[in-house]
Amino acid sequence: MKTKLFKTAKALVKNMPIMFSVILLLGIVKEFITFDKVATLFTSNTLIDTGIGSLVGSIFAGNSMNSYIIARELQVAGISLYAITAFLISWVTVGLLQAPIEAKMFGTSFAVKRNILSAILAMVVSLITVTLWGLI
Amino acid sequence: MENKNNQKQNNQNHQKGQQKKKSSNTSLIFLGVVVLSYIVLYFIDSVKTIAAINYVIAIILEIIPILLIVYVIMVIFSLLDEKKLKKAIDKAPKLLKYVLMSILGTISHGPIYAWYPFLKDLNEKGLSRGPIGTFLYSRGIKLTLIPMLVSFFDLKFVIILTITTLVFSVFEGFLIDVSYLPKRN
Repeated sequence: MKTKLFKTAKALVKNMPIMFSVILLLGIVKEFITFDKVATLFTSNTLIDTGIGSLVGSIFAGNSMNSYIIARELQVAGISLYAITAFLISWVTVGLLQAPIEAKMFGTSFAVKRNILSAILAMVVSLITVTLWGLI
Repeated sequence: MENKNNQKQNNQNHQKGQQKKKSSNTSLIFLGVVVLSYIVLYFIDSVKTIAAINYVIAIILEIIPILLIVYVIMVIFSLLDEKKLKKAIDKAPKLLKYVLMSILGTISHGPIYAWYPFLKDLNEKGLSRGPIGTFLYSRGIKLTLIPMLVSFFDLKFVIILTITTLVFSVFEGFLIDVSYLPKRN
């Protein structure tokens, strides 16, 4: 039992340096990259905006509450709901900042495949959600 | 013959050990680079850098209890008979694995990186990468934050978004597993 407790703790501690690096990177992104200019990135083309929404959400990370607040601001600024939804989904499901730790844990191939797929699916989920919302 | 096999095993273990050491060194170098960035940024904008450090401290305080939960779950898993667990994972229907991981991902709390060791543990016990992808995607659903999302948008939108995300988390897992299938000649 003692060995298992120790082995498990060791497995967790081993991942601390990379986990700590990702948290430190989040701090830099939060304080040095402002969200004010995010709204200016969008065009008025639904498909392009959905892609931009997914891309922006993929780059930023952190507490989901922040993504909701930014999404609300984007909505007030008149950005399409398709773009906002893609942004919300990719914020949580795609993690470019977390990619190094993901690659270390499950392999680079998994991290690359999963993040690209998640960014594409964020667009698909957005298109389906907003279309259904309009129809129902 | 047996000697040859033992030698092969020893070589493999040695290579694995070397790889682990290399990976550990890379992690420390990466951490060093990030810390160095903080030092440089401090001289550029000390106020923002201190705010970033405060944010980092807040995140660390937030993930400590989650890491404890992850630790307890990992200990429980380590107590299970590994062979039986592997067999159960192998025998379980694929769809069940995706659905279970999707539910687990939805109810899991806190930053995703706190859950990586647990997922890695499951992967080493025989769970394929697909359901891990499902877990990570289903974290797009934040049960605790649903009231906030409803207040910003509306209930109908949130319900559709939640169901679509759940369905696509399973789909993503399936696609990841397909991508790892051996290619037919």
